[in-house]
Amino acid sequence: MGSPLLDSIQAAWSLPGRDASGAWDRERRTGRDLVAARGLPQKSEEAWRHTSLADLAAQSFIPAPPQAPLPAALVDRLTEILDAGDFPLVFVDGFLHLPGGSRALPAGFHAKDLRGEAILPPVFQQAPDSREPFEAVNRSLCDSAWLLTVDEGVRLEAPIHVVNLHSPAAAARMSHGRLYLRLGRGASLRFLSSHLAPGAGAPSFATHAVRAFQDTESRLEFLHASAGNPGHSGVQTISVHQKAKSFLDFTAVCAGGLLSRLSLEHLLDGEGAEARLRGLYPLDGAKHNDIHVHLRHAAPDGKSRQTFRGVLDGKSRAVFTGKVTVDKGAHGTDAGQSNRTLLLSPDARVDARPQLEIYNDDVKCAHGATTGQLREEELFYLTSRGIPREQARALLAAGFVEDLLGAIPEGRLRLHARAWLAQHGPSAQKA
Amino acid sequence: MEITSAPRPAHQDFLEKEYQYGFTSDIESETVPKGLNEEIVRFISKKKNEPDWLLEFRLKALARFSTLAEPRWAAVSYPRIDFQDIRYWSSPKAKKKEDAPGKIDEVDPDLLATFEKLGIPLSEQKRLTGVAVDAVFDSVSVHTTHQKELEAVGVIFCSFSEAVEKHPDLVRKYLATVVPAGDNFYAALNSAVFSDGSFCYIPKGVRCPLDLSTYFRINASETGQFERTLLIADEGSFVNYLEGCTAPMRDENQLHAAVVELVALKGATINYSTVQNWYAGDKAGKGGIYNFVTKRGKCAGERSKISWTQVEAGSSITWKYPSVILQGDHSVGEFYSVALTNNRMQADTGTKMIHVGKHTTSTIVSKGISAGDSSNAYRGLVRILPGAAGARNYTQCDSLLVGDRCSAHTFPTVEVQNPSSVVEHEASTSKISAGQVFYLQSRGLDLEGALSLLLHGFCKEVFKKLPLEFSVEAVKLLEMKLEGSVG
Amino acid sequence: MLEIKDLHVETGGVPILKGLDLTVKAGTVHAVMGPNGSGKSTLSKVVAGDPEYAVTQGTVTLEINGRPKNLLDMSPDERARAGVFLGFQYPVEIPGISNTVFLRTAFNAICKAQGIPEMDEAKFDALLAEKMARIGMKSDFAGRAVNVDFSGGEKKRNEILQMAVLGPRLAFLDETDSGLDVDSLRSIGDSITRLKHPGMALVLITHYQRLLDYVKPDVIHVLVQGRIVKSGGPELALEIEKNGYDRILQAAGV
Repeated sequence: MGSPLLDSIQAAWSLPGRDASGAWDRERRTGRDLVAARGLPQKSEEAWRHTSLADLAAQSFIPAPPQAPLPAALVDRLTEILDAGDFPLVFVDGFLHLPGGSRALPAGFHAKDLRGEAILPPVFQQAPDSREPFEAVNRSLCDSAWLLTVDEGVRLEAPIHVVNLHSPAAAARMSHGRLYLRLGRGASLRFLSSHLAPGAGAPSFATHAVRAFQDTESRLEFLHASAGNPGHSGVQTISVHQKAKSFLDFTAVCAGGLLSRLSLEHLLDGEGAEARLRGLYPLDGAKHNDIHVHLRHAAPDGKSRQTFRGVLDGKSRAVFTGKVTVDKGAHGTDAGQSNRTLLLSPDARVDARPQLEIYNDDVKCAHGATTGQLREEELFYLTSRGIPREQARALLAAGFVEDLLGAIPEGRLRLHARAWLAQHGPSAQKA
Repeated sequence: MEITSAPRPAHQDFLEKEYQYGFTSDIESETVPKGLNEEIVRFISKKKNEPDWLLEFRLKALARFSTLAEPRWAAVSYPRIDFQDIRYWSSPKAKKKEDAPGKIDEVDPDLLATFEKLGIPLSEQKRLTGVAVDAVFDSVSVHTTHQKELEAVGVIFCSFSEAVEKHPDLVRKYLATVVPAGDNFYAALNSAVFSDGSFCYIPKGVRCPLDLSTYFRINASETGQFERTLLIADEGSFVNYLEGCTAPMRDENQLHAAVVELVALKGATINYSTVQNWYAGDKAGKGGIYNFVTKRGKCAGERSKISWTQVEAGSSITWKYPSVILQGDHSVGEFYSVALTNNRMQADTGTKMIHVGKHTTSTIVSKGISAGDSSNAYRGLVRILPGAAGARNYTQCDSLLVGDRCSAHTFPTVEVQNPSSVVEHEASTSKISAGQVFYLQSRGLDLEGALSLLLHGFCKEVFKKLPLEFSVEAVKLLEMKLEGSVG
Repeated sequence: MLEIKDLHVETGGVPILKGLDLTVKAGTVHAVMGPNGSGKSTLSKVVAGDPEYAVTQGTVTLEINGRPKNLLDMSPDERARAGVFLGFQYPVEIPGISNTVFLRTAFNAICKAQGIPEMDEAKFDALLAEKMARIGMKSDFAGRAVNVDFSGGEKKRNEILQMAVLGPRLAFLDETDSGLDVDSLRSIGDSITRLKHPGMALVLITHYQRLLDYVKPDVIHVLVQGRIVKSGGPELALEIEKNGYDRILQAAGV
């Protein structure tokens, strides 16, 4: 079915002037075939039942052009986001920028433009293609595609910080960045991916995709942080393919946008792999956020823990879908999921769908979901000590997400998560 | 549950245990040619001497049915059904009258024998005490017991056809008010061709002195069963309703697409229990009933209550979501379910709790047991609408897997549009392990005893909701269905 | 300092207090005793402003800066900032918020209301550490979430800590002695006594004499069926301890 959005995507395919070469070009072609076959999601699809694409699909976008040098306002933004201790990789509208000139990459870490690579490492073909239609859109249009690698046995302490900035513009623009991340055997990485669309709220649209591969016994700490202005639609897909005894600690802090969707696809594909996923969606105003998790245990003795918390104020709307699949051969799986949403306003709305698909009797699986409002007795307790009601609400809202933040491994990623929340979370929820 | 200490029969005996209700009765039936069209609908309506408005209702539903697509979203798979290859009417031939039989001495003795064999004696001397039974054989209600006792307190309990004849105003007032004719594919089909079923009306303030019960029996081959039940509990009344179902063993699949509508007015309580044991097909998955049923209740008045309890142990495919619309303030909805699948059975069952009124409360307890090569899914929706201030839902949804070829699925959806509501959902999976069985056996329980103890523990919240005699039957049924599955 | 006149209160449509009168002067300690269900906790909740309770008749007046003010017009936090403190019978657990953050927020809210500069984190941490040491609380309770996984005794002690930090002028302590062993009772009783000062009024709500062994009351009130039926000196508590409420109830004709 056609729509202005699909028309803009197809129009962008045939834009001249982009040199097509290497593995990058191959990825774009594959993406086109997928989009051509699949189209955009329809309302009737289960995975999109609670997030309406109607507004987004009715808009047209043109691809954002590369900008050099960066406007001063954006440089200011960058300095706000970046921490001196992080190693930055900055993408503006999908294109790589090196602020302050290039810096030597940490030893054992490589960043390669897929334009210059003949083929993508075959490990990325082992996991099935993403089920997220916008992942295919991203693949078909990616302005750039980079391969980040951590060599076998290399343990990087300082976080690699990938900043994705969507620059404000009067015209409705779209951008599409794409990353491949590969951790060698026993490698370890702290990885921070932030997505920011500053601006007053002119329509804009960005997709982003990360495909990560974790080899045996590797360890990845991953923080995903996003915030969009009220006119911004952002769809991000993160797929992680984990081999034996690898460990993933993932946290998402999503501050929403006009339409904001984070799709997480996890494959625990080696014995004893473990994934800890956390997600936080503090929303207010008319913001929307949709988190869609599909975690699949495909190998024995895997362990997964998911903790998702939302705090909804104003007329905001959140959707959470968390599906856990345990394959036939995945004996000894231990999977847990908890989703809790706090509603602060009568106009906020949440839809939650925790799902289990079990094909194996030797498993331990549990999920829990709750929604509710602040408890009156807690509010009374705080106010009886002299704390004004509004402040007490904010304090309780902060307390509601504290266990999640406190569970992020101690270090810079936890500080980043707190800072992101303080800067981009709803002001009414700040204690 | 008592723990039996009888000597344990050989394992294989259980494996080979046959479906005990799988016999066929040789009863002369009147049937129509296969196929679905306006002519058939008119035939059914005429056969039942229906008033024009009901024929209109059927024809509209048929028109609606032709515009709907068969739902494919459930976690079940089966070959496409050819709806023109089904017979939509079958009635046991009455001996004396042209009409469906009513008085007990007019019922074909072979029919009475059939029900007696099923454990449901209908004659005055032998009938069950404390329970009034409406016996439905293929498309037609055969007999309803205990009419006099019920009439004395003003309770109407009769076949749907009789209700259309004798209480047309009540039927017309409530028919399709809970499940509209075009609600879904199978509800539309049922609305067009429904044959018979039970009708029940409990007057204001009456606590029904007997439990009411409908027993459904499919006998004829290549025939669909499309019964319709309508139960109205007027203000302040109370009723327990029980439902049982069996069918013969046949190699072909048979379609059962029923509609059950419940209406609870102010302060009324309806407890609706089902033990479903339709023929489930053989070990290879051949034959069995396709059980595609729409059951829904409306808590129309404040402080009304509708409680669904189901033990789903039969059918080759079950597609069924007994639901409650909580319209009246302070109304209560409950869904307690045990669904067991074995061999090649597939079940996709659950509930919808739609909270409309203030301070409405719903509880969902679902226990899924999968064994053999079966697939068992819980699918649920809890919707809190903006006006449902102070609404509460608690959902608990547990799966038990027996063996490693089966699967369990959980698909709950929670939609909350009112912040003063509290919604809680919990789900878990567990298994009956050989270790647990051995542990119990080492304490002197035989296999049967160990199994029944574990099953009972897993399902106890649901069994507690069943009337005693049903509960005993349910445990026996589950044990029988699971024999040989635990190694 | 506090004057309650003809107070009628109901909760969930059920009347609890039915014409209660109570006057408390600064520098005095009062004890309110009475059988279960007589309305003791309701009285303290109403003074603190719990929205669960509805006042249907009567007045509650507190002298603030030398002028009588109607407490019933004030929200719970305004009352607290005016110096009212309630020691909860069942202290509420607040997951995710540390004792330190909670108390600092409350302390600074009170400072702000009184036009005093707010205290910075370091200074407040030092103040809290000192108060905790005096009350006999281990320092790790500062970083733990408010009352979460505290034992019954630890929760009660935490209430007294809050009183010590916030420095109220009028404190109602609702069954602070329940669930305490003998040693904790003595230690908490001593802490309360130390916190007393001439500008402060203290109302103890209790079932038993035993707390009063450590915190000497000036006046005892017996609350029965929503009304104070008898008031007297400390000897009244001893009499109740010995003979129960029956005689007093008979004498009062209830």
